[in-house]
Amino acid sequence: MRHPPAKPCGLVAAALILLFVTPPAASETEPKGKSSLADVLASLSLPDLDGKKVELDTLLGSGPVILDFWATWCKPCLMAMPELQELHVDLAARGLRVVGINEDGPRNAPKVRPFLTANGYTFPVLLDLNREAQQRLHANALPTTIVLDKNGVVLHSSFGYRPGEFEKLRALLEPHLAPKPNE
Amino acid sequence: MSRLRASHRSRTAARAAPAGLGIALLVAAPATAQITGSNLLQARVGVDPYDPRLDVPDNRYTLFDQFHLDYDHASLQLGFRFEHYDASEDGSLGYSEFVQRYAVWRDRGLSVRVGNFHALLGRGLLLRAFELPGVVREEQFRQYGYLRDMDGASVEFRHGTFEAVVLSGKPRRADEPPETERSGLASGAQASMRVVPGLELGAEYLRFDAQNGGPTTEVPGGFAQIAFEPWLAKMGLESVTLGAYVEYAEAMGLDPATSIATGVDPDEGRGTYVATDLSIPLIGPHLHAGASWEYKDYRNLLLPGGINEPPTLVREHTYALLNRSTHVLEPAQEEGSQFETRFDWRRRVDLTLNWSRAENADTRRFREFFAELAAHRGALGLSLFYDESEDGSTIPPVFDRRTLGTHALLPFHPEHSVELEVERMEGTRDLSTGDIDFTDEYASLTYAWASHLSLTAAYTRTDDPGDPGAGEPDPATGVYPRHDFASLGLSVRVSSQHEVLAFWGQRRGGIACTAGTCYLVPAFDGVSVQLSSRF
Repeated sequence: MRHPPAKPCGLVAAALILLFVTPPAASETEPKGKSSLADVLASLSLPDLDGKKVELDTLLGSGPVILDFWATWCKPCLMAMPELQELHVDLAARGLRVVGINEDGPRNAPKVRPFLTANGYTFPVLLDLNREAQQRLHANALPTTIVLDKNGVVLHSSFGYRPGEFEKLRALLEPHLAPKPNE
Repeated sequence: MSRLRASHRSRTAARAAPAGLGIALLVAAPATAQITGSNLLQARVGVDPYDPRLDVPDNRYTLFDQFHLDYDHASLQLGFRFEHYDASEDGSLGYSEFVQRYAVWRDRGLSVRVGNFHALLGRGLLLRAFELPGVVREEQFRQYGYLRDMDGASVEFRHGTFEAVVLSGKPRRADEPPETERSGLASGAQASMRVVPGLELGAEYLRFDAQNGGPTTEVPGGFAQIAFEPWLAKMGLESVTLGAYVEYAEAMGLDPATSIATGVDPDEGRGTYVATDLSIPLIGPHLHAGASWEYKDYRNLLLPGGINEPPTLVREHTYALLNRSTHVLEPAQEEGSQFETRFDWRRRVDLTLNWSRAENADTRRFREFFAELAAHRGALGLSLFYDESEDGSTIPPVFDRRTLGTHALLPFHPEHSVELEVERMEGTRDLSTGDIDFTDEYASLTYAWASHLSLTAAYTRTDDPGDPGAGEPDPATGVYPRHDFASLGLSVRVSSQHEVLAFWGQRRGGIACTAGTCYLVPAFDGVSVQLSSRF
């Protein structure tokens, strides 16, 4: 049996129009008139691996920030980790802050620090035990990567990971980093 | 269904308010305000091959949309979430609902929230109200977002290392349609404080009033989190970290009917959860290690309203066949432990070992051993895994389950790569008619172009009698028919804000796990297109 499909609801069409008329989060080089996520970050505080609460807006101010939402069971997240570590090692001295936001939740929380230590990942990781940060920052897939400038303006965001992606982020980050030491 | 429709109509006025609020936010936002949001739109043409309804057309069409908007201005946050669903074969299945609306005010360590909210007491033994962002549930021929939130109010306070939360609200179960009236009232509180460096102590309490003449359940508990670094540093082990978490809760006033079903005394409701983790940056030349050990003992901890979710202590796997073969926790009665250790040599070779076990009522038991060896150099990676398990709690029970597989990532250009995954599982199902052997096979091949797209071809073959569409065995041999599932998946990054996911083919039904939470996914044969956006 075949029959004509139902008509899409007008509300959904309106939502779609809203999405596509929303200006891009940023151009590839410089944000244009975008508001900052500083207030959203100020509403979030997450425990680090020692249980100490970190206010997310304290990450801003000194240079660009990469927020990477990941979990130990998420294969593309794990594939992205070496590239993130490389960015952290190469660019931390020039002001870049790479911060992992772990979405393992209560089920896998004890495995997070052993995983990071054994693999030599040294960038800071915060535990989003009940997915509050994931919801507030609309990170609806894992991994989600959000790149902010030092004022919290979104320079780039993406769902998922494909090998080689973070290499391409270097060009985007360059104008927001402190000069190289020998320059 | 008529009750649902009546409820739907009665809340038309309630829906108008958040709609007006959303429009007002969009057109009248002050220059300093922040508006953030996301949208998930999924359109599908196809059917569940095992749909029991007789009148379902083969071009069944469904449309699901979830729109989420937040407005932040200084200390104030306002937000809502709207869901819409349409199914071509039956108009009564459709709905358009504001499934969440909330207002939050925050200032100097104080946070007051009215409306829908998420909450976690301890590690979830008493209460866990949460969502799975991006997950679309399919239940009773309908789709809706995975939401297990509360509708009420909460107050949080933080000063120094002291934290407290008081909350009260009506819970929603994840498997209930959005327009279903919430039942029962859950109220609770938690306070914790770092009493000395490295030691945090907390107390928690939950009360659930069924509000339908049922019993009122009370669950007090406490927890401690210990970081041993200060003591390890005194012993000269500055680089070693050792942590522990202990939580204990007792439940009173449980529903005797539930207790009869589980065979556990209603006065004996209790839960114990212990977790430790050890990290040693260097234990030999170029050798790094980490380990975790957890213990659980849950008795009568299946709280009414499905409001809690204690840690499962079961490994959550990245591999396709293992992820869908997980043990599902029984909070009514389960005792067990999990140990996982990981070694890394020269940042090139990793070894992961995991042992998990659980004992349930009626001598049912779960056992699993998992080992994975992975080697990588730059972006090039190769891993091999082996897993063996038995689980008396699945239906039908499974034993002698062995799985072997490999995953390879082969970049052939800085922006182009190929990914290959092959897995094979063999096991035995314990059926009432006797033991039946089965085999599952899975293979996938993915091509990825960084920042642009990925294309995946996947193939699964099974003759598992426990599969939703297992069918009837051959009367002569007793062997179950073999089913094949082939699919193509395409993921395209349209822009920094939009990602399109397309699927064409057959999807196998069964258990799926996301972020530690498992749920049933029906089989599907057709085409689906999903647009995920954040702005």
